[in-house]
Amino acid sequence: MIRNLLTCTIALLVLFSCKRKEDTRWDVELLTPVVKTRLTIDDLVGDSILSINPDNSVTLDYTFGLSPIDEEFFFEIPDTTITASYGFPFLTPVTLAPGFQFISDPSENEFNLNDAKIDYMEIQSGEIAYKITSEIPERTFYTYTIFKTKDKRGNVFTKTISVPAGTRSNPTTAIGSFKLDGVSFDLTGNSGTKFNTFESEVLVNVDPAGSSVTVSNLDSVYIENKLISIKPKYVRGYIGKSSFLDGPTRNNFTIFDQIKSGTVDIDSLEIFTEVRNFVGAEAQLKLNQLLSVNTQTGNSVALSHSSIGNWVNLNRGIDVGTSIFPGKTRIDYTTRNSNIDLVIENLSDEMVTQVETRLNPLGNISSGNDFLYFDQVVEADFHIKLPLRLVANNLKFQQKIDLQINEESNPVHDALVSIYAENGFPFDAEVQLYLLDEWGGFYDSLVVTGRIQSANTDAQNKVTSPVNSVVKIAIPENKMEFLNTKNSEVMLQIIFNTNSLPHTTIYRDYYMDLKLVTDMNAEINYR
Amino acid sequence: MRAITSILILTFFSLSSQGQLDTASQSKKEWSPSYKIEAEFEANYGSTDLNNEFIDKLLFGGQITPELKDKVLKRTNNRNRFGVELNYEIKFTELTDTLFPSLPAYRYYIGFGSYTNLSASFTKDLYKLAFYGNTQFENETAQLGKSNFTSYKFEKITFGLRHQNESTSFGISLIVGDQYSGFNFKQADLFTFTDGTDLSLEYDGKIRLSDPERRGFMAFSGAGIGIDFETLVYKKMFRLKVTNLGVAFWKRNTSFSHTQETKEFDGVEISNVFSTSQEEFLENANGLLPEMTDQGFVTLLPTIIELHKKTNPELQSQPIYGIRYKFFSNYLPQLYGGIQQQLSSKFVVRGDITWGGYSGLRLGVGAFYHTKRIQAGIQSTNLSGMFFQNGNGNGFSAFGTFLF
Repeated sequence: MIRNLLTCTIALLVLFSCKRKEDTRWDVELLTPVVKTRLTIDDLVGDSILSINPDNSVTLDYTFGLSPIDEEFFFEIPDTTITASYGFPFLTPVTLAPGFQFISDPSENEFNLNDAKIDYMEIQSGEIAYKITSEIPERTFYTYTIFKTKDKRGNVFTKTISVPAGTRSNPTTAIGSFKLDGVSFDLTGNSGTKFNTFESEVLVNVDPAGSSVTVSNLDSVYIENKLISIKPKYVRGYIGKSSFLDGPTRNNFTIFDQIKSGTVDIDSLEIFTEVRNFVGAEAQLKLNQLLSVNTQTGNSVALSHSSIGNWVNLNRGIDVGTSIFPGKTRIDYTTRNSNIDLVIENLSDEMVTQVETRLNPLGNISSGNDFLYFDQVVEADFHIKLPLRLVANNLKFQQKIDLQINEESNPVHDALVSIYAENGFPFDAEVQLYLLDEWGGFYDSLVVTGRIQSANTDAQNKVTSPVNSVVKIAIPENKMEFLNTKNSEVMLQIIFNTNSLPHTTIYRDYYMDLKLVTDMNAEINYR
Repeated sequence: MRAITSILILTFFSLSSQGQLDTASQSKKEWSPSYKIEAEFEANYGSTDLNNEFIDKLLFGGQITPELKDKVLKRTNNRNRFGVELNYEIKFTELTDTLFPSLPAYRYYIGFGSYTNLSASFTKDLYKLAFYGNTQFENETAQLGKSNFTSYKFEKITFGLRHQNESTSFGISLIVGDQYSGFNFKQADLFTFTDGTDLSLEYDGKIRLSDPERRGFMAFSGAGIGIDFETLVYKKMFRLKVTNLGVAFWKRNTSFSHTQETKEFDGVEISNVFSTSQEEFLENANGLLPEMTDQGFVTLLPTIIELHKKTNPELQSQPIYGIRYKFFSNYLPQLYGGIQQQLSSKFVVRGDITWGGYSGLRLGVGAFYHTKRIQAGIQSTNLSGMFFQNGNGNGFSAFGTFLF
């Protein structure tokens, strides 16, 4: 009995100190709704590509950008080096007083910009690097000025560098750099009539607070300035001829990427390419290739249209100060002028494109009045306006869903999941769920009974009333264990079918109410 | 806690030194004690319906099998009880002095005690729902109302006076509340629709929770005042004892709800099944729970009232009986009766039969030892529960007194 008394006491003490050796657990049978949701066309299709027509019908307005056109192909500032060596023309040594300016050297320097003739430039980023070697036996000050420039405060770019004393046998070298970010250059030179040219000046003084120094023709200073990594923000003038080829590039085409098989008959669609030229110069664009690729089926369909392989002229953009009006060109694809219907009905998930562009194909026809803002050049978008008016035949959608469960978080041993659907869409849907292995491949399926029936429709295939139906999915213990321990991702597959002709129109107020109810055996567990 | 200990020690020494001054002038007589230290410990758990195997697994871990659930289910009725108590107290009494000249027969004492109580009263349907699930209630109503769960833990620091012949004592205590959780469901009728498509709950309940972040020893989640009182009544044949008559105020980081509503549940609503998240699900699910506010609340302490027949030390054998009740603790009035036998001048044993509290009928035994300086005793308050898995609880108490 004493032992039991002790056991009782110890047990109670253990209870209140919350130190338990194992979990308390038991099984329960639960029959309960879990989640409910209303699906509308907004849920099925992203808001960004959905547009609503006046009759409340829905159009998919899908856009994807053709490969971005790199602004650097149009215009690039090469690194530019300016060097100078200065000696003293005195055969006999001469003494220089403190503060004496012994070099004053203005010069004009030109950027090598091929055939471009730029008279003005604003710099986004870049720097001027210097290397000064001095044999003067006293501290000297070097002042470097670039005329006709303005920094962010409106001042002329000028910098002074202090170089310690050196000797002939042991000259001093000063190395460093200055940022040119935000500096604007007038590139018309000293006369104001040149192009690509800037004027600079080097001044060298003996330290005013130092001592007098004695120099001769054996002493010299050497200066090297280099403008490097100059990225312009804006240039004005004649920006020259250039050309650019991009691709072939594989572009993700997400509008149909969840459709795995089946056919869809589209009643009508509007497809076009819009090109916008923000450059203040004439340009040309050529679409060499647009290939619709369905990686699931392996089918590819190349767009056949008069624009393919032919140059399209792009008018120059107009700079109104606060914004730029681009020169726009639109290329329409219809079933009459192309095979665009075949391109779309291929249900592709990739579009392969190759684009070629030319700038100033006719040369300097603007008398040097081109401009280029480097953050906005030429844009080309491929647009699809697809009214959801279609006939779907076994259109198979697949969506991977991660249930985010594991042995710790999921206490359910087995479950019968019932999906109660009130379908207000004019199509029926057959649901299937697949377990995926650790590598994402199909492992097994879950038994699904029933299908979501289409709403009742009139002769025009317009919904007159929703229809209720139930789909049941059995998840036995071994498959639940697989989800808990191997891979909690499942592949949801839904096969849609609409009525046959006339084409079924999807309206925005169509909906499907779904309620998920489970009849499950679960473990209650606590420590 | 350190501050409180310091205050206790200072109080002890200041009062003790005063007592020494008063007794210094007394002439040497037969030895009589100057101080008394008492310690009491009581631990028990029990249920009117849950057997020990079930309680053991519920409290200490293990698989509650379907067979065990069925066995317990057969014993449940419309109102079932379960409770756990763990209490201890230490008292120091100055026996030679009084602080109050107007009460020359009274001696002061200071004490410290800790009380922990977890209790529940619940319906048969609540038991079935909790341990079997709601599938069996398809197209039926589970009546979960008139159920109550209370968990209470507090310490007390007491100052009191006790008559030198120990016939009467009175103490006042500062209550240090550690933790309080109270779920009181006046009505909770849960209807499960056919196929589980909907659940309907008619609910009228009150939830009171103290600060979940502060639950430990001397946590001061709440504070209050309590009174202890003890006296002899009815021709001094019975000892009446009232422990912890008082209130506690809970204001720090509390949660409170008092809701009366009918709730229809047909699933946690999510906005877009294709882009939902666990966070959205949990947030919407939490919205279904009764709305909690941070309103503070007041609770009455689980007051214990005891009435015991006073024993006569002159008798070798005598009957013992009494009654104990604990308020606000899902407690049944506890009645006991038995016999006490003097084995020698120092040893006494007793046996009794008890009914009530948190358990049904049970046996108790105890053994007591006393000398001039020491009194001690141990007691099993649920002997049957100690030996049988089908017993409905377990209990143990002990006390010790040292005079010096």
